[in-house]
Amino acid sequence: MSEAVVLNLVLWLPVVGALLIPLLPRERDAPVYTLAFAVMLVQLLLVIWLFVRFESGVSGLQFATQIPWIAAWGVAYHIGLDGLNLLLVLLTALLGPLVVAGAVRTITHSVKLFYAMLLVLQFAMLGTFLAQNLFLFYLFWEAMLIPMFLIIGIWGGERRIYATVKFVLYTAFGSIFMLVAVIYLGLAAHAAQGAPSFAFSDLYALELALPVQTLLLLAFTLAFLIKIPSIPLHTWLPDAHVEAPSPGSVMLAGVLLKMGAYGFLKLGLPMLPEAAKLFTPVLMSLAVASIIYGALLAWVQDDIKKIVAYSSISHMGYVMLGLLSYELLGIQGAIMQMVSHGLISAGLFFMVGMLYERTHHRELAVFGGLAKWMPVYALFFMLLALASVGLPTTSGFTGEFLVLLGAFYGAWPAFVQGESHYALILASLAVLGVILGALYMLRLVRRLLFGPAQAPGGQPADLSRRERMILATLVLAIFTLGIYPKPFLHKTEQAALDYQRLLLEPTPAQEGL
Amino acid sequence: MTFELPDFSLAAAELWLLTLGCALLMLAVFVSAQRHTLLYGLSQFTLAGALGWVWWSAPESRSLTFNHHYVADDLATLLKSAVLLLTAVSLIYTRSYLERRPHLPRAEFYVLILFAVLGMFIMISAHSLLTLYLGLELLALCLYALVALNREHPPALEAAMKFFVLGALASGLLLYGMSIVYGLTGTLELHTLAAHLSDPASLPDPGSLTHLAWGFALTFLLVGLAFKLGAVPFHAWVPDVYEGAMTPVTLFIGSVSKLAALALVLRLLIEGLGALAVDWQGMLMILAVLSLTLGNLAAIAQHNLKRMLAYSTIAHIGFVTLALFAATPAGYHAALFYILVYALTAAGAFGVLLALSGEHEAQTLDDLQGLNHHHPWLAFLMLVLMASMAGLPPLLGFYAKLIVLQALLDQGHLALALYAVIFSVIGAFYYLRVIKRMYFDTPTHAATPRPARDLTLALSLNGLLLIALGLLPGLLLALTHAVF
Amino acid sequence: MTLELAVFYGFAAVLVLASLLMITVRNPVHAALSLVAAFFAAAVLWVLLEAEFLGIVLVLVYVGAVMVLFLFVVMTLDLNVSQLREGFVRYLPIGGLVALVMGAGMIWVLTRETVFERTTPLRAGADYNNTLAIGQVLYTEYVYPFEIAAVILLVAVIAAITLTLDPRRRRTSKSIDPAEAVKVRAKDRIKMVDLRQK
Repeated sequence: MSEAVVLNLVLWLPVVGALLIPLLPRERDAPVYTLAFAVMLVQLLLVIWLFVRFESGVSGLQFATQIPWIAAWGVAYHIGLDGLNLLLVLLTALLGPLVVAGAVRTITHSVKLFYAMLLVLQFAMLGTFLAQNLFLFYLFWEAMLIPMFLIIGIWGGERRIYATVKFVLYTAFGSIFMLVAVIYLGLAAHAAQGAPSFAFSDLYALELALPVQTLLLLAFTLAFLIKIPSIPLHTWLPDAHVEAPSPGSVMLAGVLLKMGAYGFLKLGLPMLPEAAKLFTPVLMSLAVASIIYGALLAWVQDDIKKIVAYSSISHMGYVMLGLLSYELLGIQGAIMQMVSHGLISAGLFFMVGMLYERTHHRELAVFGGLAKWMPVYALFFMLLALASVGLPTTSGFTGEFLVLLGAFYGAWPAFVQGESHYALILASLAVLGVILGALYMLRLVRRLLFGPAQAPGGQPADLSRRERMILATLVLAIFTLGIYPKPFLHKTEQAALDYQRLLLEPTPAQEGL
Repeated sequence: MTFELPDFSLAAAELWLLTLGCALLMLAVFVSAQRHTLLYGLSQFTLAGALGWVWWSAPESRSLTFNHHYVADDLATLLKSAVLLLTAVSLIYTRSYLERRPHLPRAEFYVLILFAVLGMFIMISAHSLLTLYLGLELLALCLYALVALNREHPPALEAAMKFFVLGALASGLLLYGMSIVYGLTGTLELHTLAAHLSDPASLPDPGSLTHLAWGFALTFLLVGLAFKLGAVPFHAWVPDVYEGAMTPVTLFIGSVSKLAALALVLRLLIEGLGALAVDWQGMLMILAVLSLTLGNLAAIAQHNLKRMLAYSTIAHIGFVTLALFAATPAGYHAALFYILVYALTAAGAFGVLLALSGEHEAQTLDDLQGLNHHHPWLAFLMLVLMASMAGLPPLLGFYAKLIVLQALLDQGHLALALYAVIFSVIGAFYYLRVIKRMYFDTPTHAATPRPARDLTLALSLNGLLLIALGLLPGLLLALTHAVF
Repeated sequence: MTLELAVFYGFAAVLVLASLLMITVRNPVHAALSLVAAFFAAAVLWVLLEAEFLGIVLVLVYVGAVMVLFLFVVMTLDLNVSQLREGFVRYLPIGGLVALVMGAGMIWVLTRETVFERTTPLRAGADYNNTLAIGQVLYTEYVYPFEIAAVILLVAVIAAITLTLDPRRRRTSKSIDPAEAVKVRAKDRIKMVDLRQK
């Protein structure tokens, strides 16, 4: 029982922190920073403790709390850990203290507001992962909007207002259709069971007609594809990333982008299985197109931050591909890839931010040979770049390899039986993404770190101890997942198995067909 | 003919308001207008006393008195309490504004506000076409005068003129519709009217002449109601009145009076003519769709915040009409919930404008520019208010939109729900612009003086209530649910 | 019956005509007089409906008191309200057309016999007293609306006085405060200017 209490503590600690911030003395920023860091650190330690206590091989939720909240609508405060969200919660908690540490130099004005918003954002993100009730999920999902709006809008770059309004309007537009779908599902659950309910477990049991499922899936897909982001709905991402302050970029790339994929994982596929299967070719094509298109765009960018941003689009494509394979390996790979991308892109955005702080430039053309001036920086950059490419022993390899393996496993039977070829073709095309990834990443590394040394404003200082600590933590995590992913995969295995069964077991609607 | 002595205790709050209103009027003759605190205190005392009477006189079950002209039920108790609380809050917001402007007739302001509250009470408790109309006229007359109160401000006079002429026209249309209804049924009382219509024999056959006459009556009634609500295409007065009137009056019109407008619709259309829902639904749908479209689109183009809020009111009224359009108890409940939330939010938004009004009347986006630098707390409150109006969860405004959508989807109106949803995203844009101006832009003018402490306190409560009730929407839902 | 019809149509025509004149003539005094005529015609129609009390009250109160006061105000103030009506004349064709179509439609529908509960007024006996009947219900059954109407009138008075009476304007008008007047000194009124030094 105490674990459930701790889980609640994990979720609500940031709120407590955010409420305490206005009470701190007005003049000095240091206490604010310390408070935020302490909150995030305690949260991380608690999450690690929960991770250790999490029992593998057990189906269902662990450490769950369920309290009726809006009884008239069947909304409950229902949170809990399962194999699907465990790693993502861990990722979010890990990035929390790092972002606070990374923001010390970047955020120089309205410091209190920034950390309050960061904590609220952390709360909303954790809540989205932990929610076991669709209504609660939607609330947390939307609650991310305003903090992010302010973070980009207040502390962002030159075109921050354009970027942040674009971000919010895209996201709001997607999620409002989701709202209609959420209400519809609630009403359907009410009709089917005689009592209002938004609990995921009840909604999974719904048997909806295929046309209804299709419409609902469209609504959810719009919201999720925008968030992932997948082409053709990705255009907000480069703007948001480029203009966001680097802690904002880290949060955005590290955690926020995972929301869309997590939505498919938790809602779209299991709740609307028939429609999802019907649309798998389309979604899979979009995923592969995102992989290749994102990589190609990253290849031609001149802005370092944009390269990393477009690489996110490419890497998130793998997540979708893994989910849609309906294979155990693919699903586990998708989760692993989410975590891996969270770590790697966070690291890369941190590094871009550190460079920008020193030189106030991000164009690739003005830099060169930084390895000579900043050896430690160059080392970390190399490691992160290689992880991004997917070199074995890094988490990038684990994730992408599992995803591709899953995709091929899933595609093979249909191909052998001569039923369809598309899945195999798409899986093969996705492999191309790995090669393209190597191309643009190596181009970045070569132009930035090697060649004649140059940087605007002369030689930049190498990384400080604080910065090294941040990056070392991330790199350590990346290699842990790359070299010894077994404990992590082990904890998620049961959930992935159950999940696969949920997706594949024939429902009455199918039997009737 | 038998005559039954009316049960005066049911209408205790109305009698109290009338008595104290007259007392205030007399007092104003004898004390100097400079003794503002006395006038203000007496007004607040009147409102507080009325709240006590409303709760004291609330009957166990629905009761009629004054020969069935007056009804006391849960709906009346709820709406009257909301009217009183919001009026009291409005007066708190207004106090320092009036203190800074000695040329305004203060005593008359308070007297007119109290009589307007009385008018709303009469509407809320009306149980015959006659009382509905008279209550409406009493309210409207007070509002016309309040708009014109700032005589040295030509736009105020113009707005009052426009308000008066269009309002009179609307009253005329409403009255004409009522007289046709009387001609058709021979009764003024709402329950007799409903009973008449619930009798299948007297329900007009589609296509018959009687049906056509009912159509005429409903058209006139709805046009009149749409005028009073400010629904498109009968909205022309709304932006001008909001902009022209001084902010305290705009606050009163934009927030409190909408409660009475909803009461009018609920009593007339649902209690009286509920059986004809099929006939008025279509008209409401047109009003709702047009209001959502025009309200949201026009609001984007506004620079004056009062005007922007006027168009946003129109858009919100669109939502309310959508809820009524559903013509189910869930829909009526949604409309009531929505209007309560809207009134609370609008009061806060105008309250922020009043808090920022020193000598100069804050009303454009420029006045809010960089507010976060000068008054971070006010900026935060405005952020909450705007986000709630935009319908962002977990604020209260989100639940209001949600419950309307729920009512619509429950009846299978998917297309309308989607339409409403798309336009609320478009609407989010101009609310976000306010937030943008407050937080992202640097201030161009010096800080306004700190608002009075009671104002800040009330405003904080107002804003935090949106968060608190957003976290625990069950409280307000239970309250409004008990009514239907 | 035919006489009654003739009277009805005659005065109805007068009523419509007078109303039209009231809103179209330029001279405010003429407009007020047209309104008097319209009230009178309406009063006659009420009497035809056997509502003689209301008819008489209309003549006594509106024609006798309100309109005379109104005329008095119009003549004293010499208002020029003709500009106010310019918009009206401009939109008259469209507005008139709409009104005509609507009016025709309504007449077509509402004059059918079956529509209304009562198409002819109740025929009461010779001993029936209209005034008594109204008096009996006005203070009993309809006391609540009656009182509200009184409050509306009160508010109308408050509004009218508030909007016209400006305590500060007394200072700028021709009224004189004797206490101030006696304090006047020569230098307040006459300023000596030496022209030669210019």
